[in-house]
Amino acid sequence: MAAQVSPDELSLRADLASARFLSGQDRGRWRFHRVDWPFVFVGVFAPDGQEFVLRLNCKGFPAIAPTGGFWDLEGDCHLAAARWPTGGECMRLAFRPEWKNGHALYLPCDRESLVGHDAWLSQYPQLIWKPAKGISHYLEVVHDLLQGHDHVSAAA
Amino acid sequence: MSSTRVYVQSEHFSDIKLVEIDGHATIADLKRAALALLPPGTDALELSLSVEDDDADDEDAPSPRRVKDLNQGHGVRVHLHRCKHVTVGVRFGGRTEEHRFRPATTIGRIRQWAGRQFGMKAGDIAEHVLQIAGSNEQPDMDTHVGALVQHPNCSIVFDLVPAHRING
Repeated sequence: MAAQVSPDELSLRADLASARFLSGQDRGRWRFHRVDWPFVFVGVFAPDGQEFVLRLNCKGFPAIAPTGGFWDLEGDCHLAAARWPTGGECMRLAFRPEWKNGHALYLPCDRESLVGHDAWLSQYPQLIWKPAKGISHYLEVVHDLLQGHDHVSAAA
Repeated sequence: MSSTRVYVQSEHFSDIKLVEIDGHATIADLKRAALALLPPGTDALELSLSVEDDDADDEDAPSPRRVKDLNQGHGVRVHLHRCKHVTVGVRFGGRTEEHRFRPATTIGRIRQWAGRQFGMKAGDIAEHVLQIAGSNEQPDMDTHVGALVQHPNCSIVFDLVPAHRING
């Protein structure tokens, strides 16, 4: 008997086939790698073409925000701190390997990082998780940060 | 022949929609496919099709192009709207700049135009976003300006404001 797929996994898989997600992928902003429930692996591209893969835990999707950090697909482990994207102040604040041991990005749309940051709800309404936008919202926030003019590629 | 993804926005949709169509299809075929996405009962008579960030009027062009000619490697993106143009005002630093854009013009392109009008450098433009005047709504860069107005109101005003950045 086949295992039942949970509603949150079904929702995620539907979102990965949505116009919003495919549109971002067709624009070359990100690309889907795989789902290994409850995780989805999606690469987000910097202006120089360097790809940074996110592993996002989507349990409870879309009502509950995802959480995750950069991932090393070849090593199947968290990306080494030296290989995280680096750049100016905005990127340094959001992409902090020491924050939650690299398991979450320091962003209002990340469910683990939002804990204890109630003020973010009013300070950064545009960056708070929006279920209607789906996984593309998290990816857009990361992609936008990677496009910052202060971006400097980390050593590969 | 493989199909081409066409992303459609409209004053009649709250979000982007997707339709797949043969690359050799004509612009008229494309419009028919896009119209089929409209909610039942929508009056489609006055709707015009425009191509994202393209100033050409595809329906009036002397030799109709085909869908494959519109595909620039990132999918085809079009808009259905009753307004032929949207008059956009952008306020910043006590000044207002105004320009008419096609409904399929992205917020990202209007931001670039506005930043240049106000003498900003590229890096400074990237640190600002367009916010609908009188609200705290900041549309996504890919949103077509036509998706933000409904005929017969073919105008909108934005404020150019600093982008939200986490600062601890």
